[in-house]
Amino acid sequence: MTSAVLAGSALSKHFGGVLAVDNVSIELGPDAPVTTIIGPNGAGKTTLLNLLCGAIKADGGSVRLEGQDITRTHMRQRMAMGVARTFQHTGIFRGLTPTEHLVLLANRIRGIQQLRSIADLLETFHLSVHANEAAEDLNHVSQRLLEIGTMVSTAPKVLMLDEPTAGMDLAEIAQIASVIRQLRGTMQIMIIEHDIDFVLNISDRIVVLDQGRVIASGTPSEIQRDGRVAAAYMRRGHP
Amino acid sequence: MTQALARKLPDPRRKPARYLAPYLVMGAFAVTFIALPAFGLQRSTLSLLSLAVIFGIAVMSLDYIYGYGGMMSFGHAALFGFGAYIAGFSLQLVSRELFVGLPIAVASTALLAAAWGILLGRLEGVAFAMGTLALASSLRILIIQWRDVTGGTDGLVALPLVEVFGQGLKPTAVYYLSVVIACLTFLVLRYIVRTRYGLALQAVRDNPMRAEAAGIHVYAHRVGAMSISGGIAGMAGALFVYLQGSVDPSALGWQQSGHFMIQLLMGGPGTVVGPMIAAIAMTFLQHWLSAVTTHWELILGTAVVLFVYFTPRGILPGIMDWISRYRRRKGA
Repeated sequence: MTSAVLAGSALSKHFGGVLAVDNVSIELGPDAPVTTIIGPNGAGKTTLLNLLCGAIKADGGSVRLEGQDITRTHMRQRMAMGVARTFQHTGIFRGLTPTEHLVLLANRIRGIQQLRSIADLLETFHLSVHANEAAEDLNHVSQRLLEIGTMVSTAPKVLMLDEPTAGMDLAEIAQIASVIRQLRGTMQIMIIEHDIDFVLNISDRIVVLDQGRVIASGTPSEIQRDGRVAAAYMRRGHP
Repeated sequence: MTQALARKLPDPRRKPARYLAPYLVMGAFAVTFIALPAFGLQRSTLSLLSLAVIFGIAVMSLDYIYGYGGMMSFGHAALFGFGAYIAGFSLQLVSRELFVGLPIAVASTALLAAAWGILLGRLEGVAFAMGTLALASSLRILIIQWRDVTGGTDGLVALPLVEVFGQGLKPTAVYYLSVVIACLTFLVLRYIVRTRYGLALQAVRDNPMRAEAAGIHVYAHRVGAMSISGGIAGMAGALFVYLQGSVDPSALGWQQSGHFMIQLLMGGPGTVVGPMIAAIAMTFLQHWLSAVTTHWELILGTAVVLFVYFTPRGILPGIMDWISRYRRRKGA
């Protein structure tokens, strides 16, 4: 891949004696608009996301956004540059309404070329009827959609979603998948996810992490055929 | 295009009643308090009313940082008292003019509060509250110890009347001034919290880490909020000095900070007007009860416990909740 929007090179991170991410390189580019990171619990998926968005500092390696080295920048600065993320536990602002969420962030980032209208965003994220309700009163899927919509309102170059379907039933997962499909191609999307059906359904490329390392990478069909992936999930060691 | 967008945007006129309730309550307050002196109130009652309104302004400033910024301050009376001392010094040393002394008090207290924000802005929850308590105690001790300048425990006494264009302001004028400033403070704070800056502050209150991830400078917003709140608290302190003609270190004490916090929690954080009404009500209740019985603190304490039990989100939000439930039952 030559035209990566976001690229992490040889990223490493220790937590005490545990090597959470071990020399991982990853590129998010237009040839795979939706890239999904999967792996067993403790594989280092969220740590990798945190390194890419600047929530934590890497012990080694670098991060580049459209070729520019952003390794030393803070999460807030990366957000302003176009690296947006959501969290495992829904990160809404409970006292604000969906409209206020969008007003707040849609106008914060300067230099946005294609700022979507708030009304369009509310519609896209199925929030029009809840526009003036306090976010804490919304149901789980609406809160999750609001969180994603709020990040989309900043017109990011890269959108990273940490377990967007956690705790949802099949209908709700389908709603999230539908929204991601609508966003596909308008920005680079990276997803961390456990629901394998959702992953196979939505991804252009899947990266498999185990014990902090990339053990496989490819299209959904390639990953399905890869014996190392099943082995990692079954904890039977690798070939 | 604009019309099409306007059709799609949520209609602001359809906002829930909770958005309008504070304005209705404040309107009722303004009309009542402007009309009250026409009923020939005694001077002591007028003075008590003024004091209650001034405390109400101070509690509104506390609501701004706690109700909207999530910063619990147990040292807010120190900012109030600092503004009072600065206004007193200004009367003695600089000018008796309101339009000179009041801005000096506001600006000085805003700067002090910003310095507090710089020191404490990275702390969360209880750590922040303890930090404000420590700084407030330090300031109070400094004022007591620096006797030559501050008058020590006696404070500043027999201060001259504040003037407007050379005319001394009598208690009735200070009363009206306080009511007008209370109304303006309410309007300004309600305006600020609807701006993008105010929304960002509420985002910081609700979820600092998410706010940071969303590109909001959490620390800067906290420092800014402290400064605005401090400026308003200092303004209330200045009005206190203009009313009383004196100030002593008890105005900065942690007991006073505690009163402010209780009044805020009873009134309903995040409404601006609720805490102000609670401050006025509690100031009166305290005055009347202390005249009737020496056990007034027991009665007031019990009343506070009952209010918190029955309206845990505060009186104004509690009333709004009751009205909503009543409407739902009626509609069902």
